[in-house]
Amino acid sequence: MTVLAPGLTDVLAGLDIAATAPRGVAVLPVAEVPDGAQIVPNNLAAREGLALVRIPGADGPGLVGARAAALAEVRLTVLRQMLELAVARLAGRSFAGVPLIDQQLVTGALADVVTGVELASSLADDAPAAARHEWLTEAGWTVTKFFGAEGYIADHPVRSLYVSTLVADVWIARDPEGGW
Amino acid sequence: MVSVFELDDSFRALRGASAEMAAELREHALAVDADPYDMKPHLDVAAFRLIREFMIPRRFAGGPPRIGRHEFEPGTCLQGIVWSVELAYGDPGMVLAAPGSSLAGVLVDQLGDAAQQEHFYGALADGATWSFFGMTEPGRGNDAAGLETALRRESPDLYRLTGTKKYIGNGSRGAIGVVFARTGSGPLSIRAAIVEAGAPGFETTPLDMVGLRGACLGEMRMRDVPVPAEMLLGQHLPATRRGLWGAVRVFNTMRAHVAALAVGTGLALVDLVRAERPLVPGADDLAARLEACRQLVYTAAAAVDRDRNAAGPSSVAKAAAAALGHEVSRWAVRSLPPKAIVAHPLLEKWTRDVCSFEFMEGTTDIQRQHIAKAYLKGRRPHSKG
Repeated sequence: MTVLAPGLTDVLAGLDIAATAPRGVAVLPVAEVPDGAQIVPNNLAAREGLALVRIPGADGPGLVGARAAALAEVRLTVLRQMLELAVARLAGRSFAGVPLIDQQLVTGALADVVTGVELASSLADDAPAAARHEWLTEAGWTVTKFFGAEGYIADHPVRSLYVSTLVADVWIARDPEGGW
Repeated sequence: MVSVFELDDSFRALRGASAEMAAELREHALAVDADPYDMKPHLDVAAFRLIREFMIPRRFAGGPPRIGRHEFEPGTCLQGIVWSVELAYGDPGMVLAAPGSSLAGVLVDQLGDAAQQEHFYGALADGATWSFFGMTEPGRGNDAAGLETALRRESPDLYRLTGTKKYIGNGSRGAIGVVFARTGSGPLSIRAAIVEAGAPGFETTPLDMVGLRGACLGEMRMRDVPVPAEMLLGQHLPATRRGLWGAVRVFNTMRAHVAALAVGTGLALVDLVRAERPLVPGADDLAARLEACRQLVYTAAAAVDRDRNAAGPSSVAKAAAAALGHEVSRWAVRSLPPKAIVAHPLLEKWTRDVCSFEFMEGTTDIQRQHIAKAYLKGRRPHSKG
């Protein structure tokens, strides 16, 4: 298990979930699912100790401001954990006799991830949260690809990157024209 | 000047007929995603029948597949691509859930003799049996030349197969398939054999997939599995054409298929968003780019039909379509409110499914190498002059 579920618990601490959940949906740590919420089956979220839920009647704004930034920090930590795992994997495997970590296409992608992480960390505090989260999603997908086919197996820790994206897709407000 | 790949009347009829089957596939998609091993309620979909008819060589079927007045030659790449795009528009996981010969069939068509083909297709004749293509090994990825599974000759009539294959479609539900292994150390010692899952020493474990769960990836562990010598493919072919040569040709075909799945899924995502938000920004642009990818895929398939060794066009199509499919899924999620993830379970599902296209039949990095190699090879004669 990664820091995603405990991190999300911290991000949501003290929050009135029903008043915040965007249009009645939320991703919550399993222990925090309120009475009356309906759990929507989601294999990947469940494996991370999270639940995708419908909260009838809720019509909140989602996470904004400091909480959206705190969620970005959690996602960044998950991303760094998976990147370390990916680097260890790439160093230990080779293609045509050359370690994957030394293949030019791989080093280029690694540089892209590092750059994306730096960009996401450098956004102004009052910048739209969606921009920061989309950079993290993109960097997360690049890291996922480092795992090859392993990166598509649900009981591999890499699933935390898919769930990290789901958490942001549900909780973070996007452009107001986006039907929010 | 844009060159447009024109389908002839027969392919247009096939395209129309398969497009009509997409809606039914979609009705079954979520149930198969939830439990891909419970296929009984889904086996009667019209698309599975179409796939079967178009994949089985003519002599093992009652007659050639027909759409209206058009008659088809089964097994060509282009016809497969035409239905793949349309059926993936219904649901890509359902396309992969179809029983039948799939990749293994393409190899058996290339390398099998008449008796092997009869044995293989006979085992799949009930329309409720899946097959596997055992190439990838844990820890090896796409490095086929480095594979370790061993095929040891015990007697003139019998080989023993030992090794592990992972991330294999239908790996734990397939009843029959092909497994690549080496009989010695050189590249020509890599061979493929028809193997049955019921053989002693053959064990499998299903792998829980992020998406495209209808593909049912599994791990296959083989320990001294008996393989009759007559099940080794390519005995009747020259030594250079018995093993990896066939695999390369299968991959050229299947890359185009994966690209087709990506195009169909991308178009489905665009239409899902448009249904919710008719004036959504970006839809026209993405739809146009997906149609360009469809052209690439058709062109690649026609190139493969002319020459099964044509790697460049199918790599271009796959790299472009896989990336675009993923981009479309991000656009779709961002264009709709968060509740859409719950209100439209297919949106949530397809965002997982599109990720698979990156990993199947060679990652984008592998495709980029094929693309550059094919380009440089193609221009060499000109650069001399």
